[in-house]
Parts: sequence; structure tokens; C-alpha cells
Amino acid sequence: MCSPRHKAKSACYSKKLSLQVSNIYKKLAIRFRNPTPSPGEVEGALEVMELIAPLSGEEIAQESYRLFRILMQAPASLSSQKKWEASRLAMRGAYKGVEFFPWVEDPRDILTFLDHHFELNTRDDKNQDEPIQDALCALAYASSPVTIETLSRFNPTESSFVHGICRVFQDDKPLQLRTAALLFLPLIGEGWFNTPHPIMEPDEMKRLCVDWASVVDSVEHPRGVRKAILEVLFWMIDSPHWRPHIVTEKWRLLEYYTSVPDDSQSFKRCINNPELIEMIKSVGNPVAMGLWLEILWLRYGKLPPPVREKLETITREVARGRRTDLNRCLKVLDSELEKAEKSLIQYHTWSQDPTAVALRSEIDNLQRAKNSLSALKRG
Amino acid sequence: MVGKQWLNRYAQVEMHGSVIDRCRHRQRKMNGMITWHFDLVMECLPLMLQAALLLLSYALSNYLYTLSRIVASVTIGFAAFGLLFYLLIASAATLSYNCPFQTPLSLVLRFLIRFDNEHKKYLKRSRKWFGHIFSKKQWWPRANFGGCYGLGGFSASGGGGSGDHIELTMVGPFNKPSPLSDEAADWDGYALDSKCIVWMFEKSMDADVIMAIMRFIPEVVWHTDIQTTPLEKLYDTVLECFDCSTERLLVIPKLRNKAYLSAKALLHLAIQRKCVGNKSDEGVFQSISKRHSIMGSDDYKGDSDLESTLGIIDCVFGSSAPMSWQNFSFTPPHHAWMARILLYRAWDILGKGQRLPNDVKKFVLHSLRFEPLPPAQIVADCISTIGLILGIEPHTVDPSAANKR
Repeated sequence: MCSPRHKAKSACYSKKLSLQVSNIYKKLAIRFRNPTPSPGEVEGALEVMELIAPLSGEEIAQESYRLFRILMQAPASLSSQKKWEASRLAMRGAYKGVEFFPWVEDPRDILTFLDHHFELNTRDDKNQDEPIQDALCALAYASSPVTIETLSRFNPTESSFVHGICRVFQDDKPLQLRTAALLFLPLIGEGWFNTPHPIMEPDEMKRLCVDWASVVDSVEHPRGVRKAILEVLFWMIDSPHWRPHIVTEKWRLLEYYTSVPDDSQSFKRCINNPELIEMIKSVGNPVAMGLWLEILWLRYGKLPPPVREKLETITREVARGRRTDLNRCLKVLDSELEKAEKSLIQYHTWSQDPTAVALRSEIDNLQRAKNSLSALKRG
Repeated sequence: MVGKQWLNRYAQVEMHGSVIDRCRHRQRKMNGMITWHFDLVMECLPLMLQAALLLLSYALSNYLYTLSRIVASVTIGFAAFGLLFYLLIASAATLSYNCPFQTPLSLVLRFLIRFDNEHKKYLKRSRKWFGHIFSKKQWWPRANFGGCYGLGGFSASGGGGSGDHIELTMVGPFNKPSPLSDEAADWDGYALDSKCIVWMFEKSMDADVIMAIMRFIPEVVWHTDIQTTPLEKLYDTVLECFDCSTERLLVIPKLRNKAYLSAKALLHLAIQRKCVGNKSDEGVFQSISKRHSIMGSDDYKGDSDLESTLGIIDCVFGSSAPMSWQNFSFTPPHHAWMARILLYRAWDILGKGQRLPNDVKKFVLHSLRFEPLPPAQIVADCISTIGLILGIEPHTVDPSAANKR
């Protein structure tokens, strides 16, 4: 237990500390904004950044991120090598922690930084994992809707960028780095997977799918991670180039279907694609087929007519073969129906609350699906 | 009788408190005696008796002369003999400083005929003292004539003071504030403590007293106003703990504790005196550097406090061996002390326009990478050290130093 005197002393130090840290970052900003800094000044500033980088905390992270932005717009007089060195240290200061990540205001700076370090990784023998991890953490964990919007306009198919990301997924890289990449991938999913031509060679795609599956197996699956995993999986399923390379066991990840929001681009594309059921059938994986049928039946009422027709046709074919699949579909529908009804109980019968309205619509959809499926089962 | 009372008061021994407290008490009394010219006053007391005797002899001789010239001549003879004897021994004492019959008269005569510079100063100081009392209405004779200054140089213009405490702005040798720009610190107290330490070092060879001195030295801020430091002796004390028979210096196992305390004391004193930049210290530093051989080594694994202290001593005195910072695990008091003393080192070296020394850099990195972070005081000192590189004033008040008193 701390004595009151000790607490007061600590508080006094913390206040001074905060003031001192703020002064240090102000001075650093002045030095890097200076159009004509002396070599000694730059060296000193780099030394300070190196020393302060290990310190964690919200203030340090915020100030480091601000400094990073200043550095990325630093005057040309600052040598390129020094600029990257300083920005690397600033990124470390901002995104090394686990408790706090400053919001990314503009992802373009970080993408430039990431691209540069991917290039360095290819050119030099020097390990660039740390800066790459910091940049990926920034984008994966601290992207606001505006940042995500900006990212969607970014072209991630540059060769160095693609190969950089592939390398990050490899087994020999630290798990933290691979996890950050796993969470970052959905942000560039459209640019990577929704392309008319493949962005890499088939064996590279296969390798990435294997590495991606390995990361998925290595991390825990809280809701946020499930969402990221499924987003990518749906992109892969939707893409004719990537679908054949999906690791067989990973189709089981479709079990997480409820973690994906309705507005997910990749999911929407899959659900609205009438050809997809046939294609999944052609994969020859009964687990994949079963899960995909369940997902479609759960959304039966919301499916476009061509997809609904296709679903009914395929279900009839399945019913002729393995009736157990239909029984499982019915059970899933029952359980989801029960869940929705239970949730609705807490609302008044006439409640116009948006959730209550949505639940009523969901119950109606599930009821319709259940009736149709039962009819199909009867023959 | 009064003199006897005074001396009894002085001779009283304080039996309570630590060796350091008792020594501080002794030093305070000693300083009081010097400040109030106790020796002069004590010597003036017999002078009054002598004057009274002279007057009595004169009065008695004069009275007896009116009654009987024969009886009076005997009395006058004795009085004249006494006076002559006094004048003779006064002359002898005036002519020879080594003559044991020194009296105030001989000192005055010596001053008048300019025999001895030492005693000229004595009287000059007395005269100045009187002049000071009557001209400035300063009732405390010499206690704060010059005040006390922090590290580096000093400027009396920035501060004001009353009573026996004068606050002064501290300006360092490079026109930068000192790391400990704490106006509330008891600078006079540190000066007193430093005298205690020097005196104890001179007077005692006792192992316990030496250990007490070693523990005491890092509690003192060795500022500009302190003229005498036991730097060389301290270095010898550290060396005593090493086995010098081997090629490499190695601490004698049973003297590890003494080695750590004395090394800490030496490092503390050396770094603070380097910050002061006194000319008088330069010779001492040069002499130590010349005979210094590497003390630090990784043979003290498990005793990071000792290993790091010896390693930094090597850096300070110019010959260093690599230190394994990643393996260090400091005790909290050592960590706190080291953070503060290396802040001084950084301040001194950066002030001279050089780059931050590697040992300081590694210490800061080691401290800030610690999981969990060390106490706020250590982090604050590390941040202040970092700030110094950019020329940011540390604003560090040393409550630990102020509270020690």
C-alpha cells in the first residue's frame, strides 16, 4: 500500500513528467519543421526519439503519432534516411503498446511508410518486422470509418506491397505481426480479391491461403477477429482465383457467420451470387456445402429471387441424397427462431423500437424459411 | 568562570543519534566557535584579569608609597618584576611563532610589526566583522556572508533572503540551470555536512565510521561553495576493497559491501564535482585518472548495483569496459540514486557540448524498457535526461535531497 505522502510525491512527479514529455515533443516538432536543421540537431533529435520510444502511455502515443505526421511532411532538407529513421521511431512510440493506439487520421502516410519498409525488407537484410508491425497495428486497430473509406481508395496491388503482405503472413514472423496482418487484410480485401485478374501467381496464392489459415489457428477468436476472418474468407469464396486455394478445414469458419454484419461487402457479394452455390458444390467439401446451405436458408426471405430458386433446386437435390443435412438446417432455423423470439419478449407487443421491428422481420423471415424447407423435405 | 561554563557546554557529548548526527552536532558547535571568534573572546578573559592585576599593583604601590617607602619599594619591585616578565614573554612570543608563551599582546605586536600573515588575517577579519556589524546592521556575524550556491557558478542577484537563509538563483558553468535548481534545498546544511565528512575521514580509521561516512556522502549535494572534498581519499578507500595482486582488479569477496558503498560515494562525489567544474578539483581528477585501472567487470553477476557503479566509475575516469545492461536488476534505492546521479552526468557532459555518454543512454533505455515501469521519480529523471539533449531545463526539484535533512 502506498502512503498518502508517497502518492502525493508520485502525483507531483507524474505532473512534471507530463510537462517534460510535452516539452520534449514540442522541441522535436520544431526541429523537424526547421527547413535548415544542422546535422547535430537532427542527430540529437533522433537520439531523443530512440530514448523515449520504449516509454508507453497515452500521451507518448498521441505525441508520437503527431510527430510521425510532421515527419512525413518534413521539409526536403531532412535527408531521406534520417526522415525514415525518425518516422520509424515515431511509429514505435505511437503503436508499440497494447493499451492505447492513437486514431489514424490519414492512412496515406502510414501506407507510404509501410510500402517503404516492404521495399527495404526486400532490398536489405535488416529485419523490418518492427516498423511493419507498428504500421499494420495502426491500420488494423486504430482505423476510423473515415480512414477505412480512404483505404478503400488505395490500390494495394503494387507488387512490392503484395509481396510485403505475403511475407508478413509467413510462419517465421512474430505472431503479433501476423495477427496485425490478419486484421489488416479485410481493409484491403476488395482491392486484393475482387479483381478481374489474379494479383499473384497460383502457388503464391496457395501459400498465402496456407499461411493465413495458420495465423487463424494461432490466434484466439473474439468477435472482432471472427469478423475479420470471415470478411476475408467471403472474399476468397467469392473470387474464382482464390476459391480453389482455400484450405479445406477453413470452410468450417463459416460457422462464425453471425459475426459478420449485414453490410459486409464480401458477404453481400457472396449472398447475391446465384452461381456460388453450384461452385461451392463443385469444391466437393460436404462441410462447406452444408454450412453454406444453412447460411442461405437463414437469410431465405432476403435473398434475390435467382439465388432463392437456385437454393431450392440444390436443396431438393440434397434432400434426395443426404436428408440429415436438411434436418440440421431445420434445427438451425428452429434454434435461431427461438433466439429471436426470446429477444423479442423483452419488448412491448406494439413496440416500434428499431430492434423490435428488426426482430419481428427476422422471425417472419425464419418462419418463411422453415415452412419452405419443411415443404421441400416432405417432397 | 564564564569561560569555564562555555567550555563545559562545548565539551558536552551528545549520546543520542547516529554517528552522523553526533558529528553534525559537533561540527555545528565547531562552526559556531569560529563564527563567534570564541578563541579571541577566551583569550581576552585572562587579559582582563591581567589588566586588573596591573591596576591593583599600581594602586597598592601608590597607596603604600604614601605610608612607607620601604614597604612600597618591595611591592613595586614585585609588580615591576611581574610586568617585566610579561613583557619579556610577550616579546619572545612576538619574535617566535613557535614560542609556546603566546598571548593576545604578542599577536597584536606581531600584527603591528607585520611578522605573520596568518595572524594579520585574524585581526583583519575581526576588524571587518565589527565594520560589518555597524555598517549593515547584520546581526548574524558571518553565517551567510556569501550565501551558498548550487552547482557551477553563482549569482547573488536573483535571490533574496532573510534571517539565516538566502535563496540564490543557481547558474551553472555553462549558463544553464543546474539539475538541482532547488532553491529550498539547505545548501548551508550540505556545506556543514561536507565539513563533517572531511573531519570524520581525517580523524577516524574505525571501519564502522568509514562505512557511516560512505553512506553519508551520497546524501550530500557537493555544491560550489564546498571547497574541500575527500575525493582522493575516497578513491583510495575504493581501491582498498580490491585485490590488486591479480592482473585484473577484483573486489575482495568479504569487502563487497564496503566496495559498493565506497564506490557509490566516489561516483556521487566525482560526478557532482565534475558538474561544479572547480579548478581545484581538476588536479585531483587528473591524478585519479592517471592511476585508474578498470574496476568494473561481469564477475559480480547477481550484484547489479555493484557492477553498474564500478562500470560507471570506469566511464567517469576514462577507461571503461562493456557493461551488460540487459542483465541488470537494480534495487529500488540504487536505481533511484543512479537515475539522479546520471542526470548530473548528462547535464555536465551535454553542457560541455559533447554527446550524451553511452552509459547514461543505456541506463535510460534500460530503465524505460523495464516492465513494469520503475517508480515515477526514476522515470522523471530519465525523461529529464532525455530533455537535456534538446536543451530543455530539467525543472527537477530534489525532494529526496531536501528531505534528508
